[in-house]
Amino acid sequence: MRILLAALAMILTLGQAQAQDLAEPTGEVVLTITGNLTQSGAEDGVRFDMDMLKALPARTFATSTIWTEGESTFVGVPLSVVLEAVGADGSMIRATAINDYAVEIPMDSVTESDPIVAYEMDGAEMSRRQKGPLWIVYPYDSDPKYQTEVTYSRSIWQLDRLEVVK
Amino acid sequence: MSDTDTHVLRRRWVFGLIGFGVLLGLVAVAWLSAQVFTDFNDRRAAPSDNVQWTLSQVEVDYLSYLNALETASAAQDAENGTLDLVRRRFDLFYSRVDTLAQSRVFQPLRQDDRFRLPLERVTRHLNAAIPLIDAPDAELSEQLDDLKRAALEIGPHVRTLAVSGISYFATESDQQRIQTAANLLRLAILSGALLLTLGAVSAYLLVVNRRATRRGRALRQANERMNTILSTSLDGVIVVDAKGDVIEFNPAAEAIFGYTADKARGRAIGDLIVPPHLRAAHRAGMERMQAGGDLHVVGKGRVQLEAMRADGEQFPVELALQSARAGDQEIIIGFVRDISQRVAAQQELISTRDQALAGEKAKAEFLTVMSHEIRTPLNGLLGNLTLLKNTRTTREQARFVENMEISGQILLSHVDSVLDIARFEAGKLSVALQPTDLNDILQEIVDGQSGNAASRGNSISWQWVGEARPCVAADAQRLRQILLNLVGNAIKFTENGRISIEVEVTEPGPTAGVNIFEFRIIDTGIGIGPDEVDVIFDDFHTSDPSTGLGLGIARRFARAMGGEIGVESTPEEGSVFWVRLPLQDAELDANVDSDQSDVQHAQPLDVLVVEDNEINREVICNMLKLDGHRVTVAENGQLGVDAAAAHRFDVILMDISMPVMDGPTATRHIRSGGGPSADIPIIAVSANVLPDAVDAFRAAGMTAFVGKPIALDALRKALRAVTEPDALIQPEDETDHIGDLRASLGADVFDRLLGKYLSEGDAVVAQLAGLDGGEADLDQVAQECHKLAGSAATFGAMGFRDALIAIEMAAKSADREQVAHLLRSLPEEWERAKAALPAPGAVKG
Repeated sequence: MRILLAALAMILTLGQAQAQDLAEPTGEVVLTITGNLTQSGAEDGVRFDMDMLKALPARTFATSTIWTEGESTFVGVPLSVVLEAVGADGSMIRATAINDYAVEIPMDSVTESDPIVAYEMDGAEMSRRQKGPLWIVYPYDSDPKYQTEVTYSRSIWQLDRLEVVK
Repeated sequence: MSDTDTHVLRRRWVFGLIGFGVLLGLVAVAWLSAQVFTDFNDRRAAPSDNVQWTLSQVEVDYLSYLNALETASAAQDAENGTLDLVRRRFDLFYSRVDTLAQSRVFQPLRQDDRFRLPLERVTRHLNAAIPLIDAPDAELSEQLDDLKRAALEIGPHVRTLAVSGISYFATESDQQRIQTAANLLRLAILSGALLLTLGAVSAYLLVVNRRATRRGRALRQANERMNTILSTSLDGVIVVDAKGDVIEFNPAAEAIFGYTADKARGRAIGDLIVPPHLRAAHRAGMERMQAGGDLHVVGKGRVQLEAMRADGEQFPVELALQSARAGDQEIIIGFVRDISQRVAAQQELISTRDQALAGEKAKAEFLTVMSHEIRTPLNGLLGNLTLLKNTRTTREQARFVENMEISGQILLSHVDSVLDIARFEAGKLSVALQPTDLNDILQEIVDGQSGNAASRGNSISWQWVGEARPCVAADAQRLRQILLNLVGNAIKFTENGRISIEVEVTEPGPTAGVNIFEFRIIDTGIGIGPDEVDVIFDDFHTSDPSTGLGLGIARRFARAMGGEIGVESTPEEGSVFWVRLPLQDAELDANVDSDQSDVQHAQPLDVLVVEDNEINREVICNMLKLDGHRVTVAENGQLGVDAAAAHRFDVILMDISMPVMDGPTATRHIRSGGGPSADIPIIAVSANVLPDAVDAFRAAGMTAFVGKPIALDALRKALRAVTEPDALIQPEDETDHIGDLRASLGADVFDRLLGKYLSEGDAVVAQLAGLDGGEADLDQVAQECHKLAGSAATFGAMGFRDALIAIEMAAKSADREQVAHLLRSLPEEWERAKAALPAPGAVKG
């Protein structure tokens, strides 16, 4: 069963890699990425609906946050995967929320796995009232380096825009 | 030592404490720094997000929501877009409030009512609004006014929420700042204290360092001084370690031992300077010291030892050792002085002293011999005076003879005095007390010296001062000699003056019956200078060497008698010599000075004379017959023994050296033979007067002793001594003389015997002189010499007799060479002996 799942994930990944052109969103757009993008067809920005995000390889971890009660399980796409998907080429990412709250995340602070662009918390999608639908989350409990004010400020919720800055 | 230890210990403690304190301070600073760092870290990495922003954003979100509501209500059924905006602004507002309600950042804030109550009120409003917001557009559109009203109502609460939140966090931030400030202050104080401590430690170290420098300088100076002392010391200084290896060897030691310091250093001292015969003892001493014991000579001052130079010469040194500690090492310091010169000087001194002592002894022997040689002719003089007295003389001649005899006697006793000095120096002088009449002595002296005095134009007299107490117990001979010496001295240094003798009892003596008598010899002579008064009684000291020993003898005798002697003098006016003697009162024995009458009353004795020499035999027989004794003769010891066995005699006179049987052997036979004469007195007659010989005679059983040449007086005394038990037994030594002999025998007999002696001597000497020492019959030589020696002794020819005895001894020991040598000088001795004799018949009655 596990082998089967792994094989399936592999097929999905391969399928994505082969899909050179990004699909057009069919549902409500939840994330718009602009800036210096190298992926063909992404020159004018890439728009993601929830299905497109969910199609990307996901990462799941459990952690507590300073904004929620108790430990929660988050599911989302690692930011690095999203950026790779759009061929982001820059030193800085400007992330902006629905209410226009914005932070800057240096490119070299982004690792292969952290942070994730979470779309599920405790098995359910997050509504706007619950800091949804997208939330940049770090695994705060796993490493003290993620328990700094900088990290907390970068944990932007109600995310809806990313801009790759040179 | 223990002071330094304590000092070091204390300093270690100080350093330890300081080190500990500094460490403590550093730990505290580190801890506080960490604290402060954590404070900052807390502020930097606070789990608070941008709290202020969130709180202020609540109001923004609220106003945005209210704005959207107003826009929508104003549009009234316009496009749907306005309603969606309301919904989105609501969600954002809701989300913000939800964060305030849920986030643990605001957990402490939610405990505060000023925050909690408005939060609950807002939350209630939002929850109430949810159904309307989520309702379809139409329904929402209808309720917009209600929503707006409700939203307006919570406006103040939202404001309160933001303000109270911000004020809370401001307060908290203030507290945190205060806390950090306090920590910083503590850190500063501690750092200051630490700095102060370090400063104090630095200062202390500086002081210690300075002190060490100063001490180092002092040490260096002391070292230099020590080196100077060592290198200029005249004594060798050698320092060795506990193993005995040389550490230091100063220049004086180099000079003494002949090693350079470089050569000596590191070598074992035992191999270097200890002579081979002392090395075993040296090693034993070093081992004892290493085992923890003491060296015998360490710290014991200077000891004298033998040491060895580099060239092997051994020499005496004076050595002083001291042990000391240098650091943790035991060292021994030796101070060595080469005393070979001093020892040589000492030995020279000792040998000089020995020579001087030998000289003294030789002088004493010379004096003894001289006295002996003087006595013999003097005896002849006196004897002739006695004879002269018995002839017909005028009254005047008789007085002269008397004076001559007295002077002769004094001269004789003078010679005896010299003998006495020799004995005195040997510690043998004894004082013989006997009842004495001082009047007699003084008169005798004045009589004897009057001629002498007159010859220098002096008058002489004596007198008592105060009460006359002439009868005392005294050694008359010594007293007479003291006075005579002083009188003689006075006459010698006085010319045409007066000599007066005073005697006085000046004070009672130390015990009853003893008084101090002072004799004063006063002259009007030249006197004595003050510088001479002190030394005038010393031997051989005089302004006129002919005086000789007189005053020295006088002082010796005076002291021997328990008295004192002295002089007071004024130059050019005269002197007073005084003698103070403690003398015992005594009853004067009427017979004490009349031997003659005593002997005349003696009973006739039956006497056996054992004597091999014919002349001696005849002399003795004549003397005995003179006193009325009956005489039997035996010619050798054996005949004597036979005679004694056949008859009981009253006394036996026994010669010592005789043919067939000698005197001591004969005596032993008589004593042990049990015959009638076994227990009678036997008197030894011998020329050998030495104490050892006399003791040997006594050991053989002889009772008394008479010296040869035999004198009538001595013979009488000896006979009286052995036949009258109460009489003083004191063997008389040589007081005999030719005059006595002639007086005893009578001139005719004496002349006949003398002639016989002369012809016998001529014959024997001629015969012996003709002999060849290499072939002669030695037994015959010995016999002839012995026989003639006996005759020579009788006639007082002691030198001749001694020569004959020497030949006899040499012949008996078969030493032909010596016999021949002695025989050559014999005729000369014989001529000298003959010259000393009066010609036969020269003195006729």
